[in-house]
Amino acid sequence: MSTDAIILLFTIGCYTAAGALFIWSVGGPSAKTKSATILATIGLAAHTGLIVATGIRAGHPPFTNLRESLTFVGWAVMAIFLTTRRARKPAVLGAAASLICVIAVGFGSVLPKSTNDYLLPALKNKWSIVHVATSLAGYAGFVLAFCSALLHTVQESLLRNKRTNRLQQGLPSLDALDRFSYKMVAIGFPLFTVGIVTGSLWAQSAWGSYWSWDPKETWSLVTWLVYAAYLHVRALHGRRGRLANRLLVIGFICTLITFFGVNFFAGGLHSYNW
Amino acid sequence: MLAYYSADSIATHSEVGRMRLVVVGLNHKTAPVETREQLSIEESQLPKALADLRASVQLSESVILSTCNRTEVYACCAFDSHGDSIAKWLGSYCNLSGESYLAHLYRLQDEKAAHHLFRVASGIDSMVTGEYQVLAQLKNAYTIARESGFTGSVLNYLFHHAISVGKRVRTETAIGRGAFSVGSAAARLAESIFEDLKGCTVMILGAGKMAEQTVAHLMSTGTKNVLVANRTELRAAALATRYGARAVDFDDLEAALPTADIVVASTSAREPIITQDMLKRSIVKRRGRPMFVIDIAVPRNVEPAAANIEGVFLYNIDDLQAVVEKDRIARSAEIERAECIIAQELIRFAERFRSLEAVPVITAIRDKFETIRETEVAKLKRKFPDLSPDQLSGIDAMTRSIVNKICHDPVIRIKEFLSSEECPINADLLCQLFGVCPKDEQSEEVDRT
Repeated sequence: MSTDAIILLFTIGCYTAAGALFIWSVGGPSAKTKSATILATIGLAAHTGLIVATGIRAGHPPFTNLRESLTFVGWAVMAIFLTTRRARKPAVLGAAASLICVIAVGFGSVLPKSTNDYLLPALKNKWSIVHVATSLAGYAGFVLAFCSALLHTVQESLLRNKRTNRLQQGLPSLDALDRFSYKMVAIGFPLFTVGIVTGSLWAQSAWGSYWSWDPKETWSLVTWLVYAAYLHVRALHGRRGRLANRLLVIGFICTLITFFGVNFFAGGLHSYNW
Repeated sequence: MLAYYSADSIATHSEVGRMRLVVVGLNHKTAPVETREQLSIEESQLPKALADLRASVQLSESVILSTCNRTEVYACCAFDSHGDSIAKWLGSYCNLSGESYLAHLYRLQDEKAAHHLFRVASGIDSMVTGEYQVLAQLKNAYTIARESGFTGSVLNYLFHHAISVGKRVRTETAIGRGAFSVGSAAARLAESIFEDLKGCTVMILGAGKMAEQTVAHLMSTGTKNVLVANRTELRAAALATRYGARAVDFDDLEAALPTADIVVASTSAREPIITQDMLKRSIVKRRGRPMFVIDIAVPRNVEPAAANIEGVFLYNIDDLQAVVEKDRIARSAEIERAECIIAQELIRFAERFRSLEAVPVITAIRDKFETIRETEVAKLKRKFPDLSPDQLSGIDAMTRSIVNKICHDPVIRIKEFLSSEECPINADLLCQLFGVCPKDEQSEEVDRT
């Protein structure tokens, strides 16, 4: 087994263990949450090392295919989660973040590796690095916002139906979940915006046109508009509750289409990403 | 083990013997409230009571824990019979005639006594399982006894250990979780809706006992902004001063409603005061920020249909009581885990407790040998007055060395024996063997634990 594979397994192991500990500590004694956070941090450190090593070996930032992109999204999810919450993290959100990481990194790891020497000429551009990194980090913010919106819906329905069970007690307050979603979009949206702008700059230099309405571009715009609507509703009007949550769910579906769907089902300029 | 002594030797060795930990008391399970009332001792009276107890029963250490659910005397004493003496003292101190109260008392010794105290500290022995108050009361009772000088190494160690067990059980099990009353259920639910209750505004409509309890719970979690609305302005103003709240005119209720995050309604109105439409408009004005409406009035003050409004969480008295009941059941399920922790801690305690017992015995043995040595050296000096200082110090060093070498193995073995589970000898036997009588109290050891 290569060193990479060992580190990869270690990373996934850390995230899995952290996720299990987080789930275990939902609504229970709080001591475990801290250990789970430490485990997740160790996982993130290994994960960082893995990404840096891959990048150095390849000689370019490692987001050239779906495998690497997924790994990076997972990394960004954990990095955002660990750096933006206060010291005592809500166990459920920790569980969600760990689960996403395990899925993203795990799924990514079964995909083919990039052929290191060969890199599309279009990907050799200073904008490309910023474009891909910021877009992916933006997705990470969106997926966390989606998780928090889902949990908000669960908490809301439990409270409404007066089911004050352990899950209900373990979930963060409606207020906290709402604010977490907002924070995640507030982080993800600017990153995603930078991703789109640098993308069009790159498109200009690579293809000679800022915007060519290829499927990925179109869906990015749709996604961007949905999150813009959310921010409008949430930040400018201060609206909370179901409407805001629905926008987060729709936004996440759009994100998925942008990230995966376009590559799978539609052609277009972005479809080299395999 | 008392069988070893003749009546005489009990008298001459009044302080000899194994230290016994004893608890004599009664609680809500063994005694009805009337008896508990009669035998309760007020906090301010505790030092006096402890002094009285020490004067009438020869106890080296004692702590009295008296709450509305229990009165218990923890003591460290030399004889089994002291348990009965404590029971009698309790009756006479509380001016109880007759002996009928004795039937309500329990008497536990040594590890059983420690076990009992650990269960009390963990809230297992409480009327409401897992409640926190008892731990504070226990700490308080212990502090009073310690500050008045009635505790020593044994009870200090016991109570410190019990307090840490109480804390451990509550952090490691869910026994201290959930709601203990309607008020705390409301406060907990409020915390599931609003992250920080400090910034929340609570509005009280009417004021029953339960409403006040609820508000008190909310305020204990940090809520500071309280609005009071009452039909009679005078009453509203009176309540407002009590909570440091702002009084709201009942007619302006609708205008004030959107500013309230939490509404506690408990008026005696026959018709709902807060309608579905009022809440609907409130939520719109609040831009979807949720409202927690607690309706503890019967008949209800809030239209039940209001529960369907998005953002309104309406709980009535039955809902809250159901929460309390469910939490109670959940807590009871945690008792077993708590008992496990207590069992572990008890083993640790017992080891330490037995070794505490060895200390006075060893000290007494060493003291005795030292006295013998000094006497013999003095005799020698009298016999040979011409010895030079050099020679004298040589003799001194030699005799010391002999005593130390003789003591070395027995001392180590005594420590081992007395702290091991299957103790092959006991402290009484050792004392008899060496003909010593350990001193009553090791006051210099008070802070050792």
